[in-house]
Amino acid sequence: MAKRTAYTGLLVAIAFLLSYIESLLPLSLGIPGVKLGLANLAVFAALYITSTKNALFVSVARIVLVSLTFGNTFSLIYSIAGGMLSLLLMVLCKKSKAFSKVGVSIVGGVSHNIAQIGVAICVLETPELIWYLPALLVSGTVAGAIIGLVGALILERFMKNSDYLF
Amino acid sequence: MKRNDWFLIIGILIIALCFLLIRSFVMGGEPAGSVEVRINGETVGTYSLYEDRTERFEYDDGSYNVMVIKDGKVSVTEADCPDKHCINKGEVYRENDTIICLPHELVIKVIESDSKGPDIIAE
Repeated sequence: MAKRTAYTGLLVAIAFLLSYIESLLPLSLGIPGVKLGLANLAVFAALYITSTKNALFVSVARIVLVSLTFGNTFSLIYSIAGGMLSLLLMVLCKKSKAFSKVGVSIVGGVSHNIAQIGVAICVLETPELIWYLPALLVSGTVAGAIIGLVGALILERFMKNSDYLF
Repeated sequence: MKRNDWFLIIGILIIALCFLLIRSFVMGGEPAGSVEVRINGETVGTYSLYEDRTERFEYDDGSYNVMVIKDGKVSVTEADCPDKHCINKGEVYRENDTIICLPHELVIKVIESDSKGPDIIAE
């Protein structure tokens, strides 16, 4: 229990740091909302090395911390919607065992983008934003695959040192 | 990676492709007569594409977009948004085609006007 708490705290800190690092690297491809989502690496790790509950905690804690530090209540709504839908679907896909870690991460990336565009359509009352969807589906797939591949490598090395696990 | 992962990727790409096809179908229409401008979901004006004009939209926080209507086409030529997506979109003139400036919540959409052609407007 103590170890699990320690890992969760560590992962929140890593997620926060990754969010900050990503904000320093403005990756603009001309389409709003396209980004790598580095911080999801920590949520992804939390999902596999701790538990669903802890992953939820890491995700919510990161979003609240980042919104309070760099964002505003407006960005909070987008982040919460994206974070919660992607986590929910990742948990379901992981439980179904139909996909590998990369597949689970792709589902997370894509659903994150779908949730955010949904919120944008409602908040801005602009249904035309739906035309960003193809680009966001592709970017979500690419970002999810990168996070999944890197995440799987990190987890593999982490699990080798299983002495550190509970 | 499992076989299902590849099915997943292919499935997502097919959905994206379908959306692109629908999009080109919806937006590949005939050149239309006017544009509707919405800011934060509210229609602030409708402008004819047959009259050249420059319109500057300013917001509470001092940010702005400059919309130019010229030769039956509309474009955003100046803006202080971070992504400049509205400027990069270039000129649009086909029905339902849209310029969106997400940071400023500005939507410029080409619509068919009631009055067809410059002759009727001149009456």
